[in-house]
Amino acid sequence: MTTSPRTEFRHALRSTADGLLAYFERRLRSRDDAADLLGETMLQAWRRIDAFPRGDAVRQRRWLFTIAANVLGNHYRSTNRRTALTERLRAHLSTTPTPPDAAETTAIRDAVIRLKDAHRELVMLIHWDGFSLVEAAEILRLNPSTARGRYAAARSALREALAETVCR
Amino acid sequence: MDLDTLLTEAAPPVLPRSPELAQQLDELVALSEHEAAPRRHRRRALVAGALGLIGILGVGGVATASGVLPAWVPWTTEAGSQCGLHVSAELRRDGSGSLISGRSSAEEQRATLSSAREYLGSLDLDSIDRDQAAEHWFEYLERVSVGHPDRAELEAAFTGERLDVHSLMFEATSRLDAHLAAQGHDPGAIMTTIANRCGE
Repeated sequence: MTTSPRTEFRHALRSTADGLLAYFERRLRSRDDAADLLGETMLQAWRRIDAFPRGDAVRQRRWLFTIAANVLGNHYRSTNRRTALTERLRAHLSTTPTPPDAAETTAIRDAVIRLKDAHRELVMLIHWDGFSLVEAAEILRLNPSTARGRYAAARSALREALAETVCR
Repeated sequence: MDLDTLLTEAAPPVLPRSPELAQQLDELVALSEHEAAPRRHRRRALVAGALGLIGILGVGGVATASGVLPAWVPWTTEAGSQCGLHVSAELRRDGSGSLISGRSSAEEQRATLSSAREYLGSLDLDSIDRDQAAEHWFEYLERVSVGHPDRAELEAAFTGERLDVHSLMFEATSRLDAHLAAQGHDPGAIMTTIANRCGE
């Protein structure tokens, strides 16, 4: 039996939901917000189902992360939103602890966070979410050569910031 | 340690993944599908008529059943409830358990049963268009209901989850019949039992 578009879409959303949640968890201080933005991403994805790339799981993941990036961008520009849709997930996230970080790890993460906005997101997508440079460029709607330039600049800035710490 | 490794290892920690979280994410996918659905096809809640249509699925060789059966196929109502549908096919038998020959030979019945079970094993309930299924259900009711109630009365009798359940059950068995007919089998050669449960 041929899989329907909605079934394929639902499968893609289920298999990417965990990664999308991690994407928001790593960028937002509040897990409540991570849950909200995940719900918003899913809603927007369903509403754009006509543009869903069928038959290619890698493209589907990238397509969903592009929507997530837009949702995150809108979030940064607007006030927080709470919806009944994500109440349960919010409660689950807020009651589960995560282990503390080592001081070195915190220093590196701070260096990433202090990067210019245009550089920071590239570094996060590549090193924290596992995308290639080309994929990250597509998610951020950047020309690949522009992305390469920004990424190189970001690495230089990070090396400089971390010179006294640990990297070579 | 090189920069790539440092950066990767500096990824902020995320919530430990667990079966409970996976389940919540699945529920969120289902809820978001419902939330994103257009409202234009939602049925109006009109004055309910005493139509006594609950058992009407018995017409056409389909009977509702209750109890725990294996191989429940999951599906989600428009309101987001998690449900399971079980459709099974058996050879027709009389009260004493003997096969009813009808128009088909025993060999033809077995071939029909085999085809039906194969089809049911691959049934994808979430691929069924709910609005279309509801439309088919109401058309069917208009044809077979005693007293020929008008559409408004029928729509008042079936709303929300009740409409979801009945229209999906009807659509599933209609598709099975169509599949068997297309294969050259007689759908009447077998008996179909269908059951649904929600919210478990």
